[in-house]
Amino acid sequence: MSDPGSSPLVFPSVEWFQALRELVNSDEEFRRLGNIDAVMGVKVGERVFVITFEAFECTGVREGTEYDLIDADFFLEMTVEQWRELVTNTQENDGADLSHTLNTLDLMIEGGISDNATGDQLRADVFFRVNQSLQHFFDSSARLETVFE
Amino acid sequence: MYGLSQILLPLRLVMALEEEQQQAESEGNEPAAAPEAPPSANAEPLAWMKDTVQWGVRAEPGKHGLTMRDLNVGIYGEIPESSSDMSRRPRGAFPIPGVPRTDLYALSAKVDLWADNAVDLYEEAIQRRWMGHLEVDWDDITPQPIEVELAMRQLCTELAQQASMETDIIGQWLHKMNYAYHEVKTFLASEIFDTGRHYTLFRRRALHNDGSLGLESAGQFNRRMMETRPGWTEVGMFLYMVRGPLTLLLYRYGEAYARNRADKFLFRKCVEDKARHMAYGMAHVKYAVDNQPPGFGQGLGNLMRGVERDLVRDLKDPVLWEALAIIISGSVANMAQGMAVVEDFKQRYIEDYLKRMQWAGINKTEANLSPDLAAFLRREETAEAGG
Amino acid sequence: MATVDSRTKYWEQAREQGFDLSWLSQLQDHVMGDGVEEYSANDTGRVQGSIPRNNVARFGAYTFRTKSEVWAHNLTKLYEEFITRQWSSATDIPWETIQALPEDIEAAECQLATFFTQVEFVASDVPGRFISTMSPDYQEVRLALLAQVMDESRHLDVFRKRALANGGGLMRMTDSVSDVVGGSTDNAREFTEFSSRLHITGEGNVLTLFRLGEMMAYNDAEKAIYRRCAQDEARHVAIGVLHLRYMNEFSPERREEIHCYLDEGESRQATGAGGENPAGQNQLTSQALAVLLGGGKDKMDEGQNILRAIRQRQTKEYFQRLKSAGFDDRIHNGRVSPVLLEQYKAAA
Ligand SMILES: [Fe+2]
Ligand SMILES: [Fe+2]
Repeated sequence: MSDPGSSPLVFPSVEWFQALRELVNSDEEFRRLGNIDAVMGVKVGERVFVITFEAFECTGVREGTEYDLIDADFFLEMTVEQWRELVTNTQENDGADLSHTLNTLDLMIEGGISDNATGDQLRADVFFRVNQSLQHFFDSSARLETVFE
Repeated sequence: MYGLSQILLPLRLVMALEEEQQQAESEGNEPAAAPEAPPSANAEPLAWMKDTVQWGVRAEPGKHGLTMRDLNVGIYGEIPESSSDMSRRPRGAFPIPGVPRTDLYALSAKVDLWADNAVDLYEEAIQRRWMGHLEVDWDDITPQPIEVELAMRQLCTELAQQASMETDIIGQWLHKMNYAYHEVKTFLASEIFDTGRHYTLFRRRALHNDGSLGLESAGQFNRRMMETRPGWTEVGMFLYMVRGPLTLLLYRYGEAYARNRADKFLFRKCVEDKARHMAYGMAHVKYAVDNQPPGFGQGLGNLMRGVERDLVRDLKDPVLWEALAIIISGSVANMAQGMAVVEDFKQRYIEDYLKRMQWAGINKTEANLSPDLAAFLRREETAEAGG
Repeated sequence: MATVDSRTKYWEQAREQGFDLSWLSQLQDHVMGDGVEEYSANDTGRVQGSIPRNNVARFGAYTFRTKSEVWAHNLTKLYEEFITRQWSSATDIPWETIQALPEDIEAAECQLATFFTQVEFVASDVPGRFISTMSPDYQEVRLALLAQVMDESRHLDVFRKRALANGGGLMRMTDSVSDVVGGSTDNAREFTEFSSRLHITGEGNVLTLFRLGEMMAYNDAEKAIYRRCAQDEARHVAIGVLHLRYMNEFSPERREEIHCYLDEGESRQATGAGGENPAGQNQLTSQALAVLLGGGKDKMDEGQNILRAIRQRQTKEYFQRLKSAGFDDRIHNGRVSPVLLEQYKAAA
């Protein structure tokens, strides 16, 4: 959970991802997992966020549009309800439980959750190459006090 | 002549020596040695001090530290299209005449092994290295019903053998590659290091909970990879675009159907490694297709006709699939449901294979696919992976 | 939880549905032997201890098929050390500590780094050649070798980085083959021949030198390079010592053969021929080392003196390895190189 005094963060929002960014950038374990060089799109219903990782940290978080997904190595797409379930599950289990890890969701949800917008398989594979870091990134949201819009 | 204690050493050297040398310092003398002569290549003492092709290089560390890519500046970054150097001269080092050949590097053309991303993948492999024997929480892997245990042992035996075969296959080619392309060689060294890790961990996982190993792999495709001779590109296509997607999917399903976080971590880290290997392999095959004479890519596609028959033979073997079906469904009693997911797995596998071949510029489609493999794509009932 | 009876029933039903499941029974009955067979008939690449099957394609890739050709005790522990002691040349070396050096010192550092870049090629290629010709039943040995290939790749990488990090560049390549006496590491066809040449003689000498890296280092980055590389080299040397120890114990009939390899190795060590020992006499690298050790090209005499002490130390450590492996009889029976024996006495 975040500081007791701070107000809850709304998911999805730039502030929520920004808080996640700050968490991992000060997390030695995230650094230890190795370099992660990726532009990741996150599509929550109709909203799009662009998260940039460079070397050993998360360097950028912003809200974008569908067009931004073209430049992303991969983007994660789920419905608002599915994202909400993931974030809640992560909070309840101090990290995703066995059926909510990113790879598992990608296999279990029809059509998968991760893709490259231009069909570039090499870039789509970045999702797998840095998967533990991504898992750690989203698992860290267990430490954020989150409310849903 | 001098014993060590008789030499007047600068203070820092003395300290270093004292620290290192636990034994008492020598009082004896070294026997008369031949006088120090300059190297044979140049009669002038210290002539080597001027022997450089490019001086004044100052590669700077960036966010990733000082990477191998950072070194590719000036002549040091000029990657030759081919190299006739068989003397292991480091790329950019000052050549001297009359050096005998040390080895006959069969792969001395860039097109035969290169991929632009190898240099970054090498550093990525090192940064993302992991220690399964310490980082996997083995105590978390508690016994499951015996059928699941047996099936898991079978899956892990298969994965251990796949890893070991990969060691063999790369091992057959690595030492044949010219050091003009050290980026590729060092990346492949990291890959065989990964294969050693995978072998060790899956063997250990099979033996966990008082387990034992299962049946060896159906070996038709293994032999094809081991015995293919024309070039690394052909072998790479088999290893990274035919076998690779299968291994990757097995790891991914292993993660998805794991019954504890330790197994999930184990498989997930293997997913990372395998995807990295495939990133090099795909990039190399594409590079070869783009840069070899016209028709090369078509030749690779044609080569697959026979190879796919080998693959089909392996895929018809029930052992791996039945084990997977039991792991997925949790029992023999429910394995029919598990098998529906396995059929979905096979479909994904063939789709993935086609996608990757096409990415590399090889015309591999459902239309020219072996009918037996195409059948995986045309299942009447498709099961969701969730089964 | 299913009872044995209900399980038998389910298995029967599954078979009636068309599942094979014969593998499941085989696996249930499978008892793995302990230890590794003296002879390996593995020609399918199966994992040691797994259940062999009929109708699996055979291939003749493995020429090393007997344990006594390749084995060593305790390699599993050594391999774990390989895993835990990996490091990154990009981020584990404090590159920022490198400051501009006098031109002659920088040139000497770069010359030495060029040499190491090149010889690490050998140390990577040659073990690599043996891995896939060795039966997977002797996987512990293969694992140690592939881990060595990883280490050596990082070594050639870190020395190339050093040469290009401080305003210098790569320098003169090394002619390491014109003057080879006896068999070279490169040409070894036999595992013990290879291991005694590379692990014992070649890397033994390099290990001593790396351990004295503090003496040649002019900043923390260089110190870190030598310290890290020394750790790695110690593992490589250990492969050779453990193997020779095993041979001494279990293949005494091959002791004479091994002594022959050591004869040749010592001959190279005594003369510096072949160029594999950077501290050896008459080497391009020994000049560079003399500059570094003495503190400049005008202090090379002092550097050469230290180099002699280093050579004594190399010999001393070599003798200790012989003892550890059980081949120190050559020290006492007159077979050892007289030049090395003198050096040893001087260092004792
Ligand atoms: Fe080395
Ligand atoms: Fe070494």
